Amino acid sequence: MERRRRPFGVLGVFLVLLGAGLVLDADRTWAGGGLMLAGAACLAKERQG
Amino acid sequence: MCHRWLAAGVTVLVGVLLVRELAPVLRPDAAVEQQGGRDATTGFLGRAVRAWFRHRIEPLVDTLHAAGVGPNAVTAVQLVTSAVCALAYASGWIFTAGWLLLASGTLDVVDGGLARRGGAAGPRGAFMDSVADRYGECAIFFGLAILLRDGWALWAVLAAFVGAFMVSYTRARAEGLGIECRIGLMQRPERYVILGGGSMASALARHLTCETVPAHRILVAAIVVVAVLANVTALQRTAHAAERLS
Repeated sequence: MERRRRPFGVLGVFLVLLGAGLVLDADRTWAGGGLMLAGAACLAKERQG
Repeated sequence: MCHRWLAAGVTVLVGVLLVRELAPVLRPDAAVEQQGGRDATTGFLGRAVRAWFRHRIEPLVDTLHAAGVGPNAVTAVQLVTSAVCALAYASGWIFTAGWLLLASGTLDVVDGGLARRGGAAGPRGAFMDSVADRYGECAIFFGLAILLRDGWALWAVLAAFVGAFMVSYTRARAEGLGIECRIGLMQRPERYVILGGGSMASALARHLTCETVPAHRILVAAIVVVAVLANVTALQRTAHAAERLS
């Protein structure tokens, strides 16, 4: 049976950019940084397949 | 506060991702062979880029479908996202607003995919989706108008607003008269990509140059492009429908 693909790639890109937006627009360094890390983890997960 | 290094990092990341993802899709031979290339109905993004985006979104549609999320719920979230995007523009959060605009456009693709996947695609859903899209777009232009209310760029926002609505209106009116009318360079995905990408690029440029008073030059340029090309598209559609009706 074909394994269902997970949306980690899309989520990762969106989380990284949302985190960057929080830092750039609102100086929310910790919240933005946390979201960027979560996004980076999603992108790494996608690369692992 | 100026975040030069973060802006540089985000610029590099987005650049690398775009090149990695789009380079194979945009090869002329690949576009023609795999997707049928560009035609008058696919806007300037072309059929290959649209097909690539739908392919990248497919796992998200699968996951939401498996979780029992319906297309109407996604349409509602899309409308809320557009309203929050308008608030972000009005507050001067340009990068976040661009992100929300692209997220809203993505949700528009997702709800269509969910409707087709669940066998729920039909005239009622299409109608509700179109109404939600118009209200969402209206909110976004309101937000842009509030952001740029003190300069000449307000006129560009109003022109883009008129063009965007005329593109939709000419198609709806023509289809009401039984004529297929999907032609034109500046359709909704193109408007979202230009305005969303322009907003994010504008914010990045501001941080890269450590500009103290934001002038939003790239965003204003994006709005001018949308204003011109959306009205050209509306006129193209008008001419197309008039020719078919004569």
